Order: sequence, then C-alpha cells, then structure tokens
Amino acid sequence: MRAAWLIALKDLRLRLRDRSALMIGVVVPLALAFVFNAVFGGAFSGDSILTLGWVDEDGGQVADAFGQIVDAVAADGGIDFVSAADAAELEELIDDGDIGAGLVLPAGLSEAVEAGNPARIEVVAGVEAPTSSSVAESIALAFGTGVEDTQRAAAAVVASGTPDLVPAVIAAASRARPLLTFGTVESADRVLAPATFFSASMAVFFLFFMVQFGVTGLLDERREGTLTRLEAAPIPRWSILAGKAITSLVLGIFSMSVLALGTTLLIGADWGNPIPLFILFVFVTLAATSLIGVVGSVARTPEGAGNLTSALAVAMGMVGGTFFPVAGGSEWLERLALLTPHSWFLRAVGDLQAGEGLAGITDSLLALTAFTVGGLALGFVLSRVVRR
Amino acid sequence: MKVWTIGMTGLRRLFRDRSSIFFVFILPLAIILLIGAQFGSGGAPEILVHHDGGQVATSIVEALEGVRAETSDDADELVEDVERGGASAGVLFPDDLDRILLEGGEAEIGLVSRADTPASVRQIVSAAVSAATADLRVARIVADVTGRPTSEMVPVVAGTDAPGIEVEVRTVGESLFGPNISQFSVGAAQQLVLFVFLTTLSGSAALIQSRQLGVTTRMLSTPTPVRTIVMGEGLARFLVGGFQGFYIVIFTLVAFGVDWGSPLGWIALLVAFAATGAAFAMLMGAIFRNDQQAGGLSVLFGLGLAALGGAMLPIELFSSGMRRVAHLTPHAWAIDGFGDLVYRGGTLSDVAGEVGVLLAYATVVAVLAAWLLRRAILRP
Repeated sequence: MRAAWLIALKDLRLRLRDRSALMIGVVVPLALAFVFNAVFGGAFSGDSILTLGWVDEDGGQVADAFGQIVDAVAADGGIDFVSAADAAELEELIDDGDIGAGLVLPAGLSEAVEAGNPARIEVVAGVEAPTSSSVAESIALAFGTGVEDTQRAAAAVVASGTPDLVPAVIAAASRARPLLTFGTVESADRVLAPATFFSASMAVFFLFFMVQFGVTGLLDERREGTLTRLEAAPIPRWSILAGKAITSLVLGIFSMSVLALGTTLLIGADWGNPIPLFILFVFVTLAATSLIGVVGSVARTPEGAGNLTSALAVAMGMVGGTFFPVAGGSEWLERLALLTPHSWFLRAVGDLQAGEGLAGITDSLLALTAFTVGGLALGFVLSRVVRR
Repeated sequence: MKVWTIGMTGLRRLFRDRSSIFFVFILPLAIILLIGAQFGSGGAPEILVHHDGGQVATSIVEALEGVRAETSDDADELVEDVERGGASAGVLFPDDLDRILLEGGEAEIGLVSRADTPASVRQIVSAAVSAATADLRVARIVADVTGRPTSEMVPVVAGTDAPGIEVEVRTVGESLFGPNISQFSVGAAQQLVLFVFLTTLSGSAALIQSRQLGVTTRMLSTPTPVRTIVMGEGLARFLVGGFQGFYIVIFTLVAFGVDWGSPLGWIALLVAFAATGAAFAMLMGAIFRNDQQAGGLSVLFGLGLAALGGAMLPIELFSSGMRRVAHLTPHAWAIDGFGDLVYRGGTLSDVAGEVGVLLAYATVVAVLAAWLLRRAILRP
C-alpha cells in the first residue's frame, strides 16, 4: 500500500507542477459555471413573474368589475399589471418588451353587457410571448364566463316561468362562491436552481477529464519505459494500479470540493448538506475513475486514451443532462440519461438541495456503485482480452 | 505555395486523428438533432393530472388549452415526477368530485408546482375549470334562488344561451424566427458558430505541439521565411474551421432540410468567421507554451464566448445590458448574420455589415497574433 501512495504522490506532484489539473479541474469549470449562470440564469427563471398591460376605454360598471378581478389576480402573486392609456400605448409597451401581452376593454362594453347585446374584450398578444398571451386570454375568458353565468341564470329562471326571480338571481350570481378552489400540494423542489445546476453540471462534466490523469499516467509510464521498471521493483503489481487510481480519486474529489465551495461563494449555488455531499463526491469519482479506467485498459498510447475518454465524457455529459436538463424532454432521452453517472449525480444534488440527508440519496449512491462495479468488471475482462 | 502546403498539412492532421472525427463531424450534428427534438416538442408546458375518471374532472382535463396534459395513475408518483422536473406542474382532483358538487358541496383541487413553474399554468387550469363547470355553476345559482335541487336545474340551464363577452385575440409584433423555419434551424446556426470557433481555437494546441516537437524550427532551417510559416499555420486553422462549417451547412441542408438562404451570403459569413477563429487560435498559440493549458483554455473560451455570444440561448432572450456585452464577441455578429439568412431569407447585401465587422476583428487579431507568433518562433 505504501508503494501505491508513493506512486500517487509522485503523480500528484507532477500534475501540480504542470498546472493542467488545476486548469481543467478548477479554473475552467468555475469560469464556465460563472458565465453560464450570468448569461442563462435570468432566462431560466424569468418566466415566473409575468407583466400584463390593460386599457380601460369603457369606464363603465363592467370595467370596474374587471378592475377588481385584476387586483385579485395581482394579489395572488406571479402576475403584475400595468395600465395603459389606450391600445396604441399598449402595443408600444409590447413592442418594447416591457409587457408580453395586454387586454383592451373597448368603449361601450358596459352598455352592451347591460343591454344583453354581444360584447367583446380584446387580447393584444405579443407574438414572442405565447405564455403571457395565453394568460391574458384566460383572464379575459374567466371574466367573460362570470358575466355569461349571470345572463344564463337569468335566462333559466325566465325559461322556467318565474321571470320575477331575475333580480334575485342576479344578486345570487354576484355572491356565488366558486365550486372548485385551488390548494397547494406539499412538495419539495428537486429541480436544481440555475446557479446550482450550472455548478453541479460543470463539476461532474469536468470530473471525467480530471480522473483521466490517473489513467493516462499509467500509459505515460508505459511509453517512457518506467512501467517495466516499476514492475521489476519488489512491489505487488496491484499497487501500481492502486497508485494511479488514488491519483484519480484525490484529483476528482479535490476538484469537486473546491468547485462546491467556489460556486457557493461566487454565484450562490446551493449544494445542500456538506456531509452527504462529500460522500456523493467520493461515489461519483469512483464511478468516473472506474469507467475511464475501462478506456485505459484498451488504449495503447496516452494520446489515444485522452481522445477516447474525451469523446466518452462529452457524449455521456450531453446525454446525462449536463448541457441542458433532460427531465421534461422526450421520454426516450430521459431513459437514456439513466445510463450515465452524470444524471444520477445531478439527481442526488437535487435531492440534497431539497434538504434530504444521506438516506435521501441512497438510490443515486447505489446506481453510482453499479457503475463502479460494472466498470471494474468490464476493465478487468477487456484488459485480459487485449493482453492476449 | 509553401503556405498552402503547411495549411493542408494542418487539415490532414485533423483527419488523421480519429477522436477529432467525433468532435468535428459527429458531435455538432448530435447536438443539433437533440436541440431539434426539444424544439419539436412544441414548448407548451406539460402538466400531469390525476383523477378518478369522474365526469367533471374528465371534462376539465379536456378543456385544458395551451398545455400538454397527461394522466397519471398514482398521486404520489405524480408529485415526485413534478418534483424532479418531469412535468411543469401537477393537478390532483379529489375523489368523488361529481357527487360532492351535485350535492352542493365545494371542493379543492390540489396544485403541485415548483419555483420555476410558469405562472400561466394556474390561469390555464382555472380557465378550464370555469369552462367545464359552467352548467353546474349556473344551475347552483338558480337552485339557490328557486329552492329546487341542483340536479334538476342542470338540464334547464343547459338549454339557455347568453351572449356573454367574446374574447378576441389580436397578435402583434414580428416573429423572431419567421414563420416557416425547420425545427433544426435555430440549433444548426448556433452550433455551427459554436463548433467552428471551438475547433479552430483547439487548433492552437496543434500550433504549440509543432513548436514543441521542433517541426517549426526545422521548417525555419529550410529557405522558408517566418512570414510563410506564420501564414501557413494561420491557413491551417482557417481551413479546419471552414471545412467543419461547410460540412455542417451541407449536412443539415441535405439531412435536416435547414434552409441556409443565399449561398453567397453564408459562404461570406463562414469565411469571415473562420478567419476570426483562426486569428484567435494563432493568438493563443503564440501566447502559450504548454499545449494542455492551451487546450483547456480553448474549451473555456470556446464555450464561454459561445454562451455570451448567443450560440446557446438566442440573444433575443438576453437582457438589454447582456445583449450589448454579447456583441463584443464575434459569435454574436456571426449569429446575427446567419439569423438574417436563415430566419429572414436575407442575401449577401443583408449580411455585409456582419461580414465587415468579423473581417475587421480577424484583421486586428491576426496582425497582433502574427507579430507575437513571429517572436515566439524566432526566440523559442
């Protein structure tokens, strides 16, 4: 074991000296997480508050009632309203991107409704704001339905031969309570917030490049002839492999820990409870080392291994949702993602963000262990085949 | 002539290296395909619903508009699916809803949501509720006044008709992506810009390797002026990026039906942009001595500038301040140009401005890089 430590220590010193590990493990992912968060952070969460415009050209009773609805919707939160003087100003606001869509209560609306004539509300929909537009439309529709309810209730009492009940029915309609109300179902938020998503995804994406140093270290020794010398030394053969594995593990866990700390301070990422998080780092680094080790068992040169592992890391990172979230996309992509350690890691960080402890991420830890064991087995078999 | 030989050697090195086949030819198309698949799903938020199959709940779900509704059989599964981002929101209907409402009771619909659930979902569900329960609601108002049972009033109410208030939707503004673009167009233009720059920039490592291996010194020992070597290396980077861009255009045109518009237009843009990339690659190749560091920084700048320049998220979705920052990158100009061609059917004259800016960029950086590279070659 002492030999393994010495080999690892030598490799680590090498990596520290040429600064490449620092670059790939810390500087690049940290800078990218920062840039991605700055560029995309706003766009990811920008949809949660909408601003709609509205214009009262009517000035009558119906418009007053609509104003009360507007106040009630605004009080619910999530939607803000601005009022505009006329339809032209409303369109200008939409053009400038200040609001996505708006509502116009045209002149004569109250008159038409009170006379029982056809009336209309106009929704001005910005072509680039389908969400705002559909919200504006549903507010208008809901208001229209209320008016229609009253009119129909009145028509119904007339139809059943009791027209004298019309005033009573109008009064009843105005105090009618909704049949169905909305309640909030208690749930945790396991979808990573933008800052955390970019931090965690960059960390796990570059982890696969980081652990590569151990693997290519072995191939470097082979090319430079030092591997034969190591094999001739009075140390067990497994200690050479163990030394390289320790290099990968130390580099991987170190870079992830630094990134977790750095992104927490720099962009406010929320990685959850640090103790289960650290255990997660160990498990994901083991899985990455084992999978990259498979490549090492078949590659002949350090360049070949580097190229193959880069391709593998990028492909798995892409499918595993480190570039864009795969959840909510197509179903086959969601399934495919489960075949990458990346997706299990991000899932576990989501659980930690939701406040779970070690017990809450057991499924991810088990899945990562499966990758570790599978990679070791595959590497063992392949290296036998290649040696023959 | 020697310039050309050095340049073509760079291109040959690209094909010799098997991993670059993956990064240059397969990866960009895979990403365009993936983005196209996401784009194709329509963008309407997906919501999960759970109910006991009763009439009221079924008709509410049928009345949902502007969302993709999917039924989930298990309430707990629904909540977890929403928690993990499988759907934007969930709606849980109480059991026995039909009976409760007919007997005059009130009920609560459970809404499962997240911080990033669009505000529109609640409005959309609420609109569906009000549309689907109209008869029942009116019947209860009438029953309240006449004192007769609700179930008896439902058929009476169903026969009535009222003008109500009609909602008229008028769409204004100009569509960002034009009406007839393929689902792959947005991704194709973005990925072309991202990869051409990333690939040319990664070439800076090859430039450093040439110096490390002494190839550059050997070339100098022949009657070859430094100017030729510098120009040749620059040409090599340009050819690699230009070739990849050309390949992406042709492949997406044939396989995905992306309409790149006027050939003169995209060729001019591609040439100007590949030249800018090559200039930056020479700059990096001149500044750094360690090819691994240059490789890492290539990824950083390649992806970072692409994100800033709108090659990952359309610039139109940036805040106005961020939009100004974006136009410091060559990427933003290239994407503006490709946008004119792909989304708006522009021609060479429409992209002349963008091509000019890119060429100016390329010239300034190339002059600086050539000077630095000359120094690096002469004083190794």
